[in-house]
Amino acid sequence: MKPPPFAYHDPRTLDEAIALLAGLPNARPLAGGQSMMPMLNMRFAQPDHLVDLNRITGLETVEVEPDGTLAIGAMARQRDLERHPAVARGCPMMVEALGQVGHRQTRNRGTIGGSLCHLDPAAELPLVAAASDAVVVAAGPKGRREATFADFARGFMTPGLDPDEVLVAVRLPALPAGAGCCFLEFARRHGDFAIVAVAVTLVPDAAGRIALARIALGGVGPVPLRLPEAEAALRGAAPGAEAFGQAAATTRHLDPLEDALVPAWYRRHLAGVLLGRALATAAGRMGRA
Amino acid sequence: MMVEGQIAGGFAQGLGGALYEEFRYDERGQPLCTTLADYLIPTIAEMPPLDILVTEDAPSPLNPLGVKGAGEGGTNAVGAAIASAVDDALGGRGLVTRLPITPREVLRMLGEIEE
Repeated sequence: MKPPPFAYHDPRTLDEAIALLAGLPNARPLAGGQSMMPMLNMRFAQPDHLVDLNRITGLETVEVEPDGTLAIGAMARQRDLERHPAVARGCPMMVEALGQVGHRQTRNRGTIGGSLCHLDPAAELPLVAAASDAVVVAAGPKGRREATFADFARGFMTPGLDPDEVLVAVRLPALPAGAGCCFLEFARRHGDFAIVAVAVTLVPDAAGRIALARIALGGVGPVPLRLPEAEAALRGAAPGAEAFGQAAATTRHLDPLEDALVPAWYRRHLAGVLLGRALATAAGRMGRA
Repeated sequence: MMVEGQIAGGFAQGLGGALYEEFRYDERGQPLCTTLADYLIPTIAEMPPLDILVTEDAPSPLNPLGVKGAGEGGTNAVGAAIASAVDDALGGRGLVTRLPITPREVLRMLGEIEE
């Protein structure tokens, strides 16, 4: 199919892009186009103006700040992040997740910011952001503001951005010493959106017990879901089958999304199985506090 | 090489029928698999390594060119072979009665879930 007619704009600076988005009716930003272009072609999206962000320089940077925060520009390509040593050190879970984002060809174009703003309930990168306590940075006519990812992910495919705002960066706080991470998903085929995905970070204390657990599930709710009950169950526990079984059992209370092809009980089943496996893998990857 | 290519392609088609491809409908008869995002076709990532063995190279005596049909030669056996393998893994109880065999179906056969 072909997209409906739209006007194309290719600003060279962020300020120009924001001015276009603020001034034009029904305008949408265009990042890597790996979701937007299919949405246009299927006519799920019908913007009158597309504001291309690809010619704006400086939005694709990856930096480690003095406190260890990993700051990633919104236009950083997924494939570049997958191979970036700072990402491998600062957020190994993201590298593991990126291997399952679409295909290498789509990752060459797809951006982290595009994926976070598209906010598909089963997408990998929003899940990593939720599990990493990420903070997003948005720029608009009134300047820049930061928001926690939990606040940003407002609802089903609904990012917390005004129409004249652009996501410019995502900031991931430094991983505590010895943290072990794991990202797992189940999809019918390689590169498909996950039916259920799980992201886990376990932080050890000096005695080798679990000081802190961060657990998030994708594909289950309209936005990535943190599991506070499972996180609390693991705090202070010795890593092992008993503690992981108890944490995984909290998924029995979930009320997952249901669609014509995947019933809720199947997602609930997968959530428990994947969480149990991810916890065991993350624990095996823990180092010393 | 053309015959081997037909067998490899036929295998992929058979694999799709055995594990992925299914036209599903809701209770009112509305088709649920109307795009290639819902109707799953195996891609190169789903294809296992193949060894193709062509044991016959006998031209047909029945036509001047000696040609025989070889199109999609591998397809039919794949569904049967995979179904038999899954059935064997589940204890050979004859539980696999239809294709495609989905992960959900295998869970049901294992008795791990109640729908």
